[in-house]
Amino acid sequence: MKDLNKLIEEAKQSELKAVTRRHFLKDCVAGIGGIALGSLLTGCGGWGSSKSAGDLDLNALNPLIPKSPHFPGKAKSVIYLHMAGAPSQLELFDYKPALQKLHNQPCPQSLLAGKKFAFIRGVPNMLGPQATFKQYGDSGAWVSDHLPHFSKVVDEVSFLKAVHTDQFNHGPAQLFMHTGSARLGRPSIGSWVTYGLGSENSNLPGFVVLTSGGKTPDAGKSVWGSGFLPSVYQGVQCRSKGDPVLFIADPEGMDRDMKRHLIDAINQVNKTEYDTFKDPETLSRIAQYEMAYKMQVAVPEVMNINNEPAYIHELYGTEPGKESFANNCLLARKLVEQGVRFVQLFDWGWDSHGTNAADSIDLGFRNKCREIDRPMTALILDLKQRGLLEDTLVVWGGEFGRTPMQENRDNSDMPFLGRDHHTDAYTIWMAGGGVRNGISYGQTDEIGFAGVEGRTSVHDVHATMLHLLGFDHEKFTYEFQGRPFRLTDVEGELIQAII
Amino acid sequence: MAFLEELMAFLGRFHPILVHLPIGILLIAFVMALLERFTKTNPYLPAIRLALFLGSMAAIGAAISGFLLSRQGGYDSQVLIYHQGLGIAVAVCGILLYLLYREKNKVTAWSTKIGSFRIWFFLAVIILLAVTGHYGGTLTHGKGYFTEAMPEAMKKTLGIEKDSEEQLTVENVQEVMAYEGLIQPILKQRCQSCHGDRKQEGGLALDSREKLLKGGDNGDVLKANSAKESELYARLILPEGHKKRMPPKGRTPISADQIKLIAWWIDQGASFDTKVNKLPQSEEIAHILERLEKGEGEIPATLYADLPEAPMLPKKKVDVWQAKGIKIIPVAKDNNFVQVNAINYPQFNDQDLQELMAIKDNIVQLKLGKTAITDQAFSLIKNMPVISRLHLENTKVSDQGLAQLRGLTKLNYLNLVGTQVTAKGLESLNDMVSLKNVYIYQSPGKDAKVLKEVNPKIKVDTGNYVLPFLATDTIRF
Repeated sequence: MKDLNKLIEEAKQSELKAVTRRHFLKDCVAGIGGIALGSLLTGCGGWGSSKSAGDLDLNALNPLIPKSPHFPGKAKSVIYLHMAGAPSQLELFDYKPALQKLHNQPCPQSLLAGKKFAFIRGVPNMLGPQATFKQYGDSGAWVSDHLPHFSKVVDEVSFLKAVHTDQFNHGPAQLFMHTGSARLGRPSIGSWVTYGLGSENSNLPGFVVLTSGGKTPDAGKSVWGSGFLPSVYQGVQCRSKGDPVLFIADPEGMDRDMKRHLIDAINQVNKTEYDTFKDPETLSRIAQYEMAYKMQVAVPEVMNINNEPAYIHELYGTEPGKESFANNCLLARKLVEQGVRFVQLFDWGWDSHGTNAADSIDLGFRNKCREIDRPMTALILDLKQRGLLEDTLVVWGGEFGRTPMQENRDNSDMPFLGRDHHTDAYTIWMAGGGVRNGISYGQTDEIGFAGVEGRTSVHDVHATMLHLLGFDHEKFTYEFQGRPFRLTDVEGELIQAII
Repeated sequence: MAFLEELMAFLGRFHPILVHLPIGILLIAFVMALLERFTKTNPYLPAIRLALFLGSMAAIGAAISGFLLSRQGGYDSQVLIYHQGLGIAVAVCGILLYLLYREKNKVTAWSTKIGSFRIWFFLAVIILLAVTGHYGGTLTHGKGYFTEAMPEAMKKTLGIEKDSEEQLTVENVQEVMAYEGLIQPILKQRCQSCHGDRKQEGGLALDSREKLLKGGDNGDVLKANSAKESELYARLILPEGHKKRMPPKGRTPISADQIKLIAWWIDQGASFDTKVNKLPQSEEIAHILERLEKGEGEIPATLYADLPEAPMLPKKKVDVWQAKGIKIIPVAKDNNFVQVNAINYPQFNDQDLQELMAIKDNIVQLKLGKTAITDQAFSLIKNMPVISRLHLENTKVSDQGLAQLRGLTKLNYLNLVGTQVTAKGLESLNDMVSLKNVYIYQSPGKDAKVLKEVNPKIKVDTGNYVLPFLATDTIRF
């Protein structure tokens, strides 16, 4: 209590310093007018009663309070699995037997004319699929032998086979994939969704980011940034090792009760502050302290996978204490189960240029496939058995595709097989959350160079995701610098075939 | 002569302005006539006479301009005949009224009789005027213009059925003629109320192959192999709000899929005697056709749209629940159906549920996972008429009372993961029509095959999935 009094005393002192003669005069005049007006208005009934900070509803102040979309959405949460570095669609889902026949033959000029590649120079050779393909499930989806587990759940999934982008470098392409613009400054899709829908669980952040693969995405934290939206909607990156959020544990010597007293004291000072200046930002501050206090308990609990039963660990292939895509998949399920709105996973290491063994299509790429095959399949099955898949949208994809040509970095021979960045065609799959099952939409040409049918742009993917969550992407806007902004800018069409 | 024709057409366009004059003037005359009749003083008589004279003249003017306008065609002929006849009748009756209200030189028994009778005749004329006006409105705005915007509650009391948008379904879609079986039904559904045999706006009718090929006043609307150059398609994709966009503002819009089908048909040669399966189909078109066959809507009609209107939410009660941590979330903006989520209020019990019964007609989704409710809850939930998704996972609920859910006609999702429900309990639900997905993982009922056998429409997910260990799982390159 001593601390508290001291704090309040300090606040009063600083406030007095700010009061000038001008304030006195102003308060006198406004005060007299106010008294007269107050009595007038109370006479009219109801209007004169002022609301003091004491009975403020903290719930209403919370910017993450659940909100309603434009129309009832089928999806309530999103888990976005982003394979940073861009996996090769030609070794996973886009089966091109014709490309095998052209293996090692020089690429025809017609494909190269007017095109720009990140590393390919001169005339590269074609590279046949480095995997064997089969059709699976009732839907007959093509999946390569790199994903033996995933091939069993293809009927839960819908593929977009001819997605295209306009950025061939990782950073801008990742930004485009997540913010709808290749330039910095726009909010990520997770921020948009949290801004539009809030969070169902007031003890947890609405937008959580988990990374694996040893590195964070090339585009940096802007891929989960909030851009011009209030910063409360940016993604909260949780660490897989140690404290999930830095400084979430109380320091030594501080117990929970003491923390409560501390926060009560701070909030009381803030309330006094609010009563004086009526600045709404003060109210958000109070709400934020409250949420941080609750998160201290809720976050470590939801981020702890040690207590999961053994068969769940077996299903996902998780090893507690390690940073891995598998652990992150299990965490994603737990977070969504707890009402987190948007869970963003990044797995780094998919940039298979062929410059070294780890970055090659024939070696390192296969290892990466092993790392994600079981966990992502387990994620779908686990969401399904818990009745969560119906309203959880799972999206898998990279930031662009890879060339049907073998990379010849700077027109030289490469030590390993690799493919260069490619913008004209790549594959994204979606599952759950109102997406139709077992559809393959879009087709690429015979060698997988470009989409020839059912082409979909990044904006189309965004429009469709927002639609599933209940938003009309053309009307979902935020006013910034004098005009409304959209995630889909001035583009984007719903991909009707999969919804 | 051509000038005269043009001038007449031009004058005809004044009809919508002129019609308001007789309406206004005759109405004010009627008000004055009422005062004259029932206050027994007649300072208004000269004014009534003047108003009647002007009103009748205006009615004649309106009738003439109306006749000129009707010559330009494009109106529903039946309604037009009524409107025309009634309009002329109003003009004639107006003159008669004027005569009845003439100044009387001498008071006779006859004229007093007329004095008391003429007000009733006037009333009849006003009614006539209203009916004429209504038909006129119907001609410009189409039938059902009024009732369309009527508040739902009013419609209900008046017994006006909602215009149910009929879902177009085409059986065996690949075998029908592309024009006859596919395109013509779309044109019929979306275009022919204005471009059909009754009304030919812009001189265009779309109800037969010949008329479609003939085009409208501005020429052809169809150019085979090029949808973009065909007015029939180009008008459909104009931006919303464009004055040439079809169907015009206020009419049921044509759906995206239907537009795509029209474009596809034109691009493939706009053939009138080719079967659907003889025309090359892109993946997208194939999907649309497939959906058309199954009668599935394209953008699935918004969730919960089939439910009756939900009552207003009691704001105060909702605030109390929210403060406790029980989330009451409307499923969409300006929608009173709610999702209730007790994720931040694990102590939620049967008593809390009892209180929630105040909004039982609003709850479409109830998320009570990991709360303290018991089997008592079923006797309350059974009274939630519109509930469609029910989460009871990880609670103490068991077979006792589960059967009470049987009467729920909208329930399609039931989550019983981690409960005490057994296969026997599930059996009691197998005659539910709406139920689609039941989740029973980690419950004694997870071995249940019963439901599957009795009602194959209900999918019971018993979970316990395993991914077998593969040698390749551990091989590293």
